[in-house]
Amino acid sequence: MSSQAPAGGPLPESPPARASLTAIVAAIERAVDVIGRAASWISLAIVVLMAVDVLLRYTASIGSVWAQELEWHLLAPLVLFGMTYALLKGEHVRVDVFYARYSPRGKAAVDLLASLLAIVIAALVIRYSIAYVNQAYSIDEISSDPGGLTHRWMLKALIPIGFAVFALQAAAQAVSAAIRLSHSSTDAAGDRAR
Amino acid sequence: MSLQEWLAIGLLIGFFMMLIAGVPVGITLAASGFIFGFMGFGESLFNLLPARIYGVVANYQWLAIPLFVFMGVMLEKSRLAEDLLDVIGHLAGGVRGGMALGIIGVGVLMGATTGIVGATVITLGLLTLPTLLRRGYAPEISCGAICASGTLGQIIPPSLVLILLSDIMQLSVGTLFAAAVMPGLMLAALYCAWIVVYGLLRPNSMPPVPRAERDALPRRELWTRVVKVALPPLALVLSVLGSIIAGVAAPTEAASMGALGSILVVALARRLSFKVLRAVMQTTTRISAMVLFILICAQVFSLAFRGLHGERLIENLFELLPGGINADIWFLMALIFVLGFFLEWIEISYIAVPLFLPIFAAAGVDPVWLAMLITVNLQCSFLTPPFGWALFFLRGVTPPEITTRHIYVGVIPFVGLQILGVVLVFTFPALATWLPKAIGW
Repeated sequence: MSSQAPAGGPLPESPPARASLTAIVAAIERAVDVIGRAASWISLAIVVLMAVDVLLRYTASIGSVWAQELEWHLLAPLVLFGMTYALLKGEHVRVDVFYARYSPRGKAAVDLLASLLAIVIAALVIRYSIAYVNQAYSIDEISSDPGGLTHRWMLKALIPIGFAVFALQAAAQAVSAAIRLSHSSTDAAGDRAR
Repeated sequence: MSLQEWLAIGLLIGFFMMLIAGVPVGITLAASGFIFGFMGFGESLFNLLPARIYGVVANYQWLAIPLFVFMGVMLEKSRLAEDLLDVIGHLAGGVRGGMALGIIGVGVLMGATTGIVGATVITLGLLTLPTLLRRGYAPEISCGAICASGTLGQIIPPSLVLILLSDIMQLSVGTLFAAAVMPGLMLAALYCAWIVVYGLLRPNSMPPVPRAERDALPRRELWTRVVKVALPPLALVLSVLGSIIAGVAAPTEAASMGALGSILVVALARRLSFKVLRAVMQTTTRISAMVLFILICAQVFSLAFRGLHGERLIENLFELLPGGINADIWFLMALIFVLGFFLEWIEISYIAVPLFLPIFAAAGVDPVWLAMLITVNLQCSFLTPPFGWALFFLRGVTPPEITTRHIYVGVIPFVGLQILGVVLVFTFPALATWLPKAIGW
């Protein structure tokens, strides 16, 4: 198993009809890259917040419920935006025993399948989580601990938002996989014609 | 068998097919779960999914993952590990096979700092393999030692494997960390013993560093470098592990101290720059999210498997086995070992282990002991040809004169040692259970 090579990669030379699609894919990937880089600051925030909290608690016995809650509240955006960042960089682990030996066409086919499945999965997660977020919103759910954070629905809303971004990047990768697939098949046809 | 049980089997087969075809692990888990879940019971159970996902991404315990990853990546990116290897190479120089022993030592240390197998194997491979070959070491033993010691990171705490297993098996992270110390050191000792024996059997395969070169570096200067290079990360690791095992701090708290400490250590070495920090943050984000994404997707799979009464299927399977609970344990061990040829620890931990857990819980098997048997066994999955992860990582960084065959041949004795390790933990459960009990976890 290993992580795949960056999934997008340079797209093949494309006729004008594909150019606009390629441009959209590139725009989505730039946006996801920005989101991922921004989300990566959360990791530092977690380290600093947590370390300060622990130091204060053990040395000065100063502790606050909200700080401790904020720490794990930060994990949600780190993961839910980071997973798309990892998708962009092709770092989701896969078994590449056979994958590594596929032809470019075979790889494109598997990538296309994986991207389409990812879109469906994200759509289903969004579908189920909307009601979940609504419920938290309608009762204005807050932390059960006194002194805890309020607006729990905002935290929960990160689930459909994160998966929406994920679906967007998966769609971009589906398009680029489809372009690679059709490109390599016209190549193969051309080879046969010659 | 009922339709649902057939669908449960279909779920496993469908999962396996997609996985082997090369679809990413998380996607495979969620897709097979949704497809066979809808066929078996429709939507009902999946309404629980958002709460399950929330339980994964808003979880205090999982904070330990980004924190430990941050600490490991920081220490790795700062290239402190490189200096560490250099110094240990000189220290170990005198003994026959000394550098190989040094690599095991570095593997233990790096395992304790990073807990990321890939990082350790790549670092060890890049930095030590050329040196070993230049010193006249045989490629096989060099590759074997690097792969084996690189995988120690997954058993020597803190390690991602232990953190995930603690969740799957409903144990505290601290208990598993404490339990893994002795088996981890035992494996390192087994590797060292093998290298010493190999050095006696084939003296020419591991020549010592020439005397003249060792004399060129004065003792005093060598020790100054040891103190400067090895001490800070070592102190960091020992204080993090010590505070967890002594029960002073919860693992997540200790992890935050480790992450902060790693920034300080790197700053003291004057290697902290904005560029390093940014790279560490980005790598940390992607690795942590990748691991937790699999966890999210595993929720879909487990809902489907439960909804299709997959547990009953497994129970029936075990009832077919003769010879009581020990036979069941060895069946699980054999299964994990065989799965290890094809799958990696993440899939095995999430698929095989939860399936069998209820059986062992019902039979009253000590979960800590069982977790250690699984952990030692899982390490094989990194090492077993042809698909071991460690082998791929090493293959990616070896000089051209090293063939895949060198790596495969070199790693086989270490797989044997690994099996010996499982047998030892099975025969002497105290190896796993003594330390957690002694410190009262």
